[in-house]
Amino acid sequence: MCPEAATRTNQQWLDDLRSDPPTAEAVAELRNYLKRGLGSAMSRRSEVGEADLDDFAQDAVMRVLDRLDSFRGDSKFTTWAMAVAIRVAYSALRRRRWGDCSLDDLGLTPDASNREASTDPAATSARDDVLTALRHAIDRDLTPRQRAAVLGELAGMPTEILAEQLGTNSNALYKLHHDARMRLRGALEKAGFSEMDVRNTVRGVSQ
Amino acid sequence: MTMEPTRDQLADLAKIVASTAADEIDCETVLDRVAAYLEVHHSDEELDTELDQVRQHLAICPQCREEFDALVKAHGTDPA
Repeated sequence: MCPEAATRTNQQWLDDLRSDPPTAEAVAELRNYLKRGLGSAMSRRSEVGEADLDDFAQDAVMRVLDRLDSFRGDSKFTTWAMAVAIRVAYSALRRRRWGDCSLDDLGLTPDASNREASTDPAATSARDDVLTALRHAIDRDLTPRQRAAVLGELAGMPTEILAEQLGTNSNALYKLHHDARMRLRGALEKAGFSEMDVRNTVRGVSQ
Repeated sequence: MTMEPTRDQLADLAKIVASTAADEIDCETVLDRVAAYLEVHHSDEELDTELDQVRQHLAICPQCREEFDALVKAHGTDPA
């Protein structure tokens, strides 16, 4: 009798899924397991139906099979596979939600000239000072591509779509965004705002 | 019309900027480590460097944070 999904060891999963072809029972158990987990994770999303869960689970199985060599063995195989499945499903949902929205639609074409942020004459608090300094730094200290990456993410544009819009891939976009954040951090420090100042500002605004 | 971030969005960005580390890992790397992070993050066990990088990434990446919260639900682990 084949082991159930919950009782298979990591090695049993790997052996069955790496066989040529992958064992049908293992593939079916994995698909069912992932579908159940995705159903739990997305139980409050009214836009996700049974057919979507079937599609996501099937796509996730294919992605897991492609990434088997990436499994490091430092967790349960099923937990790792579920993380992959969630990435597949949520990426699809984000792409569905954003449709054909482009950077142009957000006014964030990378080659657009920087526009100086207006100064709010009523901004007198320390919190406002930090946020104003940050806004100025976005326009003054970032390259157009960095600015598009930062503002695109603030607008909620999914990473995959933002990367496509900028003619790059997700990993390169992450580095672009990281470089931008490091510049912004340096700009805030240069303006005299410590990390604590910034954290206190966020607490104040979110209250 | 050019997108103008709201004060709340700028505050979110400020928090992310303050949490930015010099040696971050990207979303693809997180995908391969997040399962291990999930399985230990409720415990008092001190995180090793790699898992601490996952923690830091989840603090600054909204998409990975959303996926981690979903993984917690799928895994059936109560959130901290």
